[in-house]
Amino acid sequence: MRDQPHGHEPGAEAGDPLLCARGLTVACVSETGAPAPVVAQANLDISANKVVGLLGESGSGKTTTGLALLRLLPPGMRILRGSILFRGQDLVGAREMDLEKLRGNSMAIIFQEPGLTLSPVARVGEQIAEVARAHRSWSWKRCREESEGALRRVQLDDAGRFYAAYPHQLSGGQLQRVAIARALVCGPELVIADEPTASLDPTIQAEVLALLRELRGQLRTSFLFITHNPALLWGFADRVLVMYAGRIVEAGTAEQVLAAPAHPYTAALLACSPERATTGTAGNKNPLPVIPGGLPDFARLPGGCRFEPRCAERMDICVTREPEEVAADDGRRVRCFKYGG
Amino acid sequence: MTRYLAARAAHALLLLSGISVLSFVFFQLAPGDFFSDLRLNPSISAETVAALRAQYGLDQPLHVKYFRWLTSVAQGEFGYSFSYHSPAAPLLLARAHNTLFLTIPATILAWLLAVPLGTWAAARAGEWPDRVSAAGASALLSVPDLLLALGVLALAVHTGAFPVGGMVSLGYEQLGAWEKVRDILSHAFLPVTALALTILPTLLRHVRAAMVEALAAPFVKASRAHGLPRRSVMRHALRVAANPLISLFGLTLGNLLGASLLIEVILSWPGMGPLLLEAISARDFHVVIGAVMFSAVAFIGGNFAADVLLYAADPRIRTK
Amino acid sequence: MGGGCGALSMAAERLRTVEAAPLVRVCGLSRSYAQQRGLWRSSSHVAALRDVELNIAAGTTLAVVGESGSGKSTLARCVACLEPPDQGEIWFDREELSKLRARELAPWRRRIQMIFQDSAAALSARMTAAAIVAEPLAVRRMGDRRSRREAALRCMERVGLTAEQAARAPLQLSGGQRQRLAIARALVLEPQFLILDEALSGLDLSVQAQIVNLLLALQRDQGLTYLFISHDLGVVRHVADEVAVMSGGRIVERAAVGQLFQEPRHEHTKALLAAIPRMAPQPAARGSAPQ
Repeated sequence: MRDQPHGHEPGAEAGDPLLCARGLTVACVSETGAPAPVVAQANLDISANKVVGLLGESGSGKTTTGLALLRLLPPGMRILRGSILFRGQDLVGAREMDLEKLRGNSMAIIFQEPGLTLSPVARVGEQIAEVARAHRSWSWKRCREESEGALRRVQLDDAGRFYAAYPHQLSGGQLQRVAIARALVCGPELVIADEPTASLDPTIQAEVLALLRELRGQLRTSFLFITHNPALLWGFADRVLVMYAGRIVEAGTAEQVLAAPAHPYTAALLACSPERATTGTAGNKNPLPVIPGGLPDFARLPGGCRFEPRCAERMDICVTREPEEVAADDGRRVRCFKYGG
Repeated sequence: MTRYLAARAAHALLLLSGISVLSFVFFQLAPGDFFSDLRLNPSISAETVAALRAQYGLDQPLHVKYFRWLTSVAQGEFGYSFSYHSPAAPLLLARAHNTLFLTIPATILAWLLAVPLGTWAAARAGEWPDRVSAAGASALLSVPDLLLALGVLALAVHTGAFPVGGMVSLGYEQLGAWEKVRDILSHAFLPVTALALTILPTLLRHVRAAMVEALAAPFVKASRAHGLPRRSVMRHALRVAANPLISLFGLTLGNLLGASLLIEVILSWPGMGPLLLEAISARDFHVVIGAVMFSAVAFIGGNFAADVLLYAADPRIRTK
Repeated sequence: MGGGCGALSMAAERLRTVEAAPLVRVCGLSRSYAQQRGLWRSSSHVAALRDVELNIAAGTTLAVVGESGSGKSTLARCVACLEPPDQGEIWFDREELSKLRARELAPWRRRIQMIFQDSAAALSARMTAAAIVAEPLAVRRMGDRRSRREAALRCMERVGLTAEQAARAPLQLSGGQRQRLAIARALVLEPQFLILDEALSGLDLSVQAQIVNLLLALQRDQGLTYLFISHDLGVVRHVADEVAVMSGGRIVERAAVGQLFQEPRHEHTKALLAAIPRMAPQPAARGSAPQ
C-alpha cells in the first residue's frame, strides 16, 4: 500500500493551496436508518489561480461536493466527516454568519440553469449590485457602477441596457453571462461552476466557455469546473478529478487524466465520448464503446470497489475490499487496486 | 391603452346589465311583492291592494318595470324604496358608507397581520411558529362568523368596556366634535375586530402558501449562495409571492360591501347588511336590486384594481 | 430534391413507384404562432417553420440539427401530426396526413411514434413502468391483459430493462432508464417511423452511448426509420445517414452525413461544427502507471 501523506501535491503550486478538503464525507440523513453516503472520503486541493475540473456523471456526487464546499447542502444532506480549509479557515465548523461573509465574496458559485437563479421580478443589474452591497460598504451608486463594470467584463457591452433588463427579456447565453458577472462582482478567489453550459445551445456554450477562458487569464481567480463532458476541460483545466459513485477515483494534471487515463472508469468514460469514438468516416454507424451496466444502487452497495461490476479489468481483490487512494510517481492519485492500494 | 380601457368598460357594463336583468328575473320569480302582507289584514280589501299595486306600478310586466328602473338609475335615484318612502340611492349610499367604515379598517388590519405572520410561518415552515399560526388559523376558520359575532357581543355585555351594538350613542348630536369621533370609534372597535378575525385566517393561509412556494424557488438558494442577508432574500421572495397575493387582494376588495353582513346585523351596525335583510323580507325590491348592483360594482372594481396592480408590480406582464 | 408538391405530386408519385419512394416526405411545410404581447397590444406572428422540405428513405436516419428557436421541435410535432401546419403537406407511405381528421389519423399513429427529451414529464408518474409500456395496447384494446403484459415485458427486455425495473415508477428510474422506457413504449405498437426530439440531450456520456447503440441495433433488426432531432452534432455523426441543418425556421443545408462533416457549405453549419468541444485527436498510449 502506497499511501503517501497528502500534504504536498506535485503539480500544484508551492505553498498552501487556496482550498484544501480532506476525507470529506457527505451523507443523506433521514430520520430512520443509517445515513447513506453520497460523497465519501474526498480529497481536494485547489491552488490559487488554477482551474480544477471535477468530472463525473449523474450520481457521482460532483454537484454535492461543490455545494458542500460552500456549505450549501440541501436540508436532507449533511457533512458527516472531513475538513474543508479555505485560506486556512475551517469551513465545516464555521458559523452561518461567517459563511455568509465568504459566499459571493471570496467564494462564488455559478449554477446550471441561469434563468432560475435570478429573481424574475427584479432587474438583473440590481441583483448583481446587491451582492456588491452585501459584502462591501459602498454607496448604492458605486455598487451600480461595479455592477455595470461586471457586465462589461462578461462582454455584455451595452451595460446600461442590460442593467435595467429583466431576466425574461434575456436569452440563455446572456443570462449565464449575468450569472457569471454576479459571481465575479466582488472579485472572489474561487469560483465553483456547476455545469454552467449544460443547458445552453452549442454555439452559445462555445461562447461562454471562451468567455470563461478569457476571464481566467485576466483575473486571479481559481475555478472548480464541474462537468460531465471531458471535452470541456481540455485546454482549460490544469488539474482534473474524476468522480464515480461518490468517490474521487483519479486525480492528476489534465494531460495525465484526459490523454493517458489510469483508472479504468476514466478510460472507459473517455472512450464513450462521441468525439473520441470517431472511427473512420462519419456515417458508418458503428456501435460506440460503452460501459456496460449502470450506476450502483446506493441502498445496496457492493462490498468492494464501486466500479467493479462494470470494470473490464476487475480482479478478485476488487470484490472484497474498497481500494484506497494511492499516489503514483508522476504525481497523480488513483483509487484502484491495479496501482496498489 | 384607451382601447384596452374601453374594452374593459364595455365588458363591465355588459356584466352589470346582465346582473341587473338576472336579479329582476329572480325577484320576480319569488312569490309576493311589497303589498302581499297587506292582504293578510282582513280590513283591507283586495281592491285597495290592487289599487296600491297599480299606483306603484307593481302590476306592470317585467320589462316595463325594468325600464322604469333603468330610467331611475339614469336619473341617479336607483328606484324607489317603499319601506322608507324615498328614492333608493341616498339610502344605499348612506348605508354603504357605514359599511365601508367597518370593512376598510378590518381589511387593512387583516392584511397587516396576515403578511408578516404568513411570512414568518413560511420562513420557519414546519417549526413551531408555523404550527401555531396554522392551528390558530384553522381554529378561527372553523368558528362560524355567527359565533364570533355573538362572542364579541357577549364580551361587550359582560365587561361593559365597549358599547353594545349600534354606531352612535344616544345623545350623539350633543357631543363635541372630538367626542363624536371617539364615540363612533368605540362603537366600531368590536365589529372591526370581529370582521378582521373572520377575514384573517384565509389570508394567512394564502400568504403562507405563496411565500413557501417563493422560498422554494431556485433563485432563493442562489441568493443564499451569494451571501445575501436574510432580509434581502425575504424581500425578493415577497416580491415574487406578490403575484398571487395581488389577485387575492382584488377579491378582498370586491368583498368590501358583502363581508360584514352578519356582523352588522348582530351588532346592530347600520350598514348595508341590515338594510338588505329588511328589504328582502319586505320585498322592497328596488333597494335589493340597488344593493346587488353596488356589490357587483365593488367586485368589478376590485378585479380591475387587481389587474392594474399586477401590471404595475410584475415586470413579466408589463414588458412582454 | 424531390419533385414539386400539390398538383404535380400525383404524376411524380406514379413515376416513382418504380424506384423506392421515401417513407416520409415533407413538402413546403410552414407554421407560425401568434404571440400575445401585453394586455392590450395586438398579437404578433412568429414564423416557426418556413417552407420546409424533407425526404426520409425507409430504414435510414435523418438528423435535423439546429439551435433553440430554429424550429426543429415544431417540425417534429408537425410530422408527428400533433400540430397542424399552416401550409404544406406531410406524406407518409404515399398518404397525405396533414389534412386528415383525428379519427382518420388513428391507424397512422400506430406507425409513427415520438420520443421526447424529458421522459420524466412524458411518462405518467403514477403508473408502473410495465403499465406505461402496455398502455398503448390497452388504449387500442388490443389483446387481453395477459398478452398485453407479455408484449410489454418483451419490449422492455429488448431495450435492456429488467423485470425488476418493470415494477417501478418512472421517477424511481434513472434518466437513461427512463429514456429506455420511453423507447419501449414507442416500440410496443411496432411502428415503422420514430421521431426522436432531443431524446439524448441531458444524458450522461456513458448512458448516451448505450442508448445510441440501442437505437442503432433496433434500426438494424427492425428496419426502423428515424427522424433524429438534436443540437449535438457530435452524436449525430454516429447516428445519422443524412443531416439537415435548420436555422430560423428554414433548412439551410442538407447533405449526407460524411459530406456535411467534411465539406460544410452554409455558415451556420460551419458555426455548429466549430462549436463542438474538441479533445486531443488520439488518446496517447496508457503510460505513467506507477510501479
